Amino acid sequence: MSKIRSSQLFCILVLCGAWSVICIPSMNESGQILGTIAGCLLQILFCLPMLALAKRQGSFEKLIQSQKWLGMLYIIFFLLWGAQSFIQLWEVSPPQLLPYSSKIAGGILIILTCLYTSSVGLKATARCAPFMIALFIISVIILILGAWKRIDISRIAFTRTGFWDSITIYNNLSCELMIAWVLLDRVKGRRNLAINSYLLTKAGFCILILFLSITVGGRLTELTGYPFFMLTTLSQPLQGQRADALYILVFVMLYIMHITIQTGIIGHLSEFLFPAFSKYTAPVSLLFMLLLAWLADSNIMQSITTISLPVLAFLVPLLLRMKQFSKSIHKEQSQHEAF
Amino acid sequence: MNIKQKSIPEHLEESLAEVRQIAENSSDILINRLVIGNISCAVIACEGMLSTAIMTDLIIKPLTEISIQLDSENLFQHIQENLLLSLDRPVVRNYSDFFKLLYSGFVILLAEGQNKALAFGVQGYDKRSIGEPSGEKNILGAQDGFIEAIRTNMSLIRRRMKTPLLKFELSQIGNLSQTDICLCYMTDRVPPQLLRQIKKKLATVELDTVLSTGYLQSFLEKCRGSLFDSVSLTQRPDVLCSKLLEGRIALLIDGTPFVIVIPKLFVENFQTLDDYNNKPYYAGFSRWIKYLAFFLAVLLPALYIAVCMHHPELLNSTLVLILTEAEQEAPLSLPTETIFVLLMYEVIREAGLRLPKSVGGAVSIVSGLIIGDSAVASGLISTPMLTMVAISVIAAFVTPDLNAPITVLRLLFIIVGGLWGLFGIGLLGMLALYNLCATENFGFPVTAPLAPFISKSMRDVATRVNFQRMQSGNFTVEEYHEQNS
Repeated sequence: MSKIRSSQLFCILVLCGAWSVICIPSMNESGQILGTIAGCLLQILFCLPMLALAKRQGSFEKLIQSQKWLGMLYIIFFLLWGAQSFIQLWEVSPPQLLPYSSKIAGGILIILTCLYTSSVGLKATARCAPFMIALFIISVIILILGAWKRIDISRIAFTRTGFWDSITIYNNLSCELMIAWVLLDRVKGRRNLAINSYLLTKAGFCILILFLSITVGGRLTELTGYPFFMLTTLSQPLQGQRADALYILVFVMLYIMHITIQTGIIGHLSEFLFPAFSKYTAPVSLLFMLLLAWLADSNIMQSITTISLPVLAFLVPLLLRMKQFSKSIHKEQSQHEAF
Repeated sequence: MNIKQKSIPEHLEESLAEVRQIAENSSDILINRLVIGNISCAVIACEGMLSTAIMTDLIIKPLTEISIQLDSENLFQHIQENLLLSLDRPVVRNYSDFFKLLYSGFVILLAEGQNKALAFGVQGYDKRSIGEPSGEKNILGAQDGFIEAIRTNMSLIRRRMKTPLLKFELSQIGNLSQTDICLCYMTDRVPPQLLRQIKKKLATVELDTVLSTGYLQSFLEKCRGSLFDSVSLTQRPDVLCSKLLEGRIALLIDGTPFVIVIPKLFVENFQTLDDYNNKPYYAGFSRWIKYLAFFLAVLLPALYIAVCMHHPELLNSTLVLILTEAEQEAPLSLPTETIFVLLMYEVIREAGLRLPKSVGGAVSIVSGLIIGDSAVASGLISTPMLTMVAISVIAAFVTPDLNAPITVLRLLFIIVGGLWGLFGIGLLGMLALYNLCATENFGFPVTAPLAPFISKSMRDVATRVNFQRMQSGNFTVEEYHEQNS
């Protein structure tokens, strides 16, 4: 794989993060705004070991080449996350707006699209990301414009409830950190800036959706769930006609990108682990994701990804960094003794 | 017969017999015998490839006026050193070079006792006069365009770039046609790696003939499944010069007025020479109109179908009533109707392209007035749908270079829009976007400078700044190159 720019990594992470925020099931407490900020700060701490490693050439590729079982764990994580994304699509997508008759039919259409998009490589995904960001920004602007007249600040009741919940929810939706960790070696430019900007942008978008859902939807948000979709229904920029169907475009395109990135990263990892089979990775992993999503239980999958995220994205880089640190101290000591 | 190693014999009769035999007594070979001094000679030329008047004045007449008695060796030396018969006068030692030059419009002089020949460049074949290119019209720019003769095209470029940094590299390609091709670039700006790679690619060409740009284009494009071109074509010397100044490489091919330019960027489809002659504010405006036209050309009929069939809530009540009334009269489903109209348009367009101009007018009358009007009047097709298709077709004329991808994508979008509404359009939109983003040539992505995003280049993409600001850039296309690790 070729190098990607830090700005492209930022776009990829923001798009995946945006998908996660769109799929947040419920957010309607003002305390959650503070919780989201705290969640964002926590994630900045989560990122420190991986950034420190990347700065000192602690290559992720070297790691999985020496510890193949660890590479397998990462592949399993991305497969589970992909399957989880399929479940999210089925649960979240407004059924009246999607034309397919069954879950599997929709899944197959998406898989067929992803087969092509993942075959052209992560570099194409990285180039595609700025266009998607532009589309996403336009849709958010339309959302804000539509919601503007309906905003009622008095609906915000300052409470502490939801603070701890939102930290958990926010961190559950932060699988993008794994993307950052896997791709970090391949990024040229200002990596720290890209990751920190992504964390702040995602937190900003999350707070925006939370703010709008409270001030526009009010108590209605509690009944409907999925604040983003509730907002698209309530915030209509034009009088006399509804615009929520337009968000299907953004929703579908974000989803394709999301799955393509996961498949692309599985392909990238399998180049190190099973180089002979790497060209079959995309179709196999896509089918596996769909099958897993169809058969497995959503809650179990959510739990697995939630538990494995801090281990794989935080603990592994932390342990590696500590190992590197102890090695350097040992080297210094031996040099000192020799002197 | 391998004529490559076959050298010219000393005896004139033997040489002429060989020439006749190799040329299979072809009717266009002209052999004129003459005696210079007291040496038997022959002047050989290919009919129609040279100017008879120039040949008579500059070659035959001075040769027949040689009165000094010399042997054949000294005769050739005398001609080369004392007579300036033409500027281009190579010495030929084998039949491969002999025929290459003969068929390129050279006059060849053979003499008894000499195992070599002298060639004189007096090319003067008939060619089209320089005129405005039909496919790249502009209002305020130059009105001349490339023609089929490669040397005339080289002179058109040189007239605009009087610098030794502009380099032409002539060579031949095509095993049988031996077509002249010319690589043209600015030595100080061209990315050396790109030049090396292009030369390497051209060396792999083993075609018998190269009759147009399409023959070589596929060798110079890397992405086979791409809908979008990664090399561009131009007929305008002024446009080509601007590309050369950005470090691009041009490939001129003898026999075609189109020049291949490598690499191409997608945003170039929306840039015209007039943009740089108009005021920046208007150039920026017209550029955004072109971007909009591209989206209208590709998506408008599909969005219309998707909205009407799957998402009517996007329309206001007045529009819904108008469209319902129009569509309930039509006997065919909306996608079928649209595909039918678009296919008919493509048929009419093809007919218009291939027919003589006089008949072309009749085609427009029959298609526009008779078929269009009667189809709507009879209720076969609905007026709103026809309006959408017409807008889409007209919008496609704004970016003629994108005609092929627009035509295919428009049809595909109509099909998926009809089947799955905006969901389908989203899916196909992603496929098209990925296809575009995956297209690159020799490490230059066609999506640059948008992806990878280069903010400095937005001054000629999102808008068009004036030349005072543009001259400070020192931009070359190498900035867009994506190095592989």
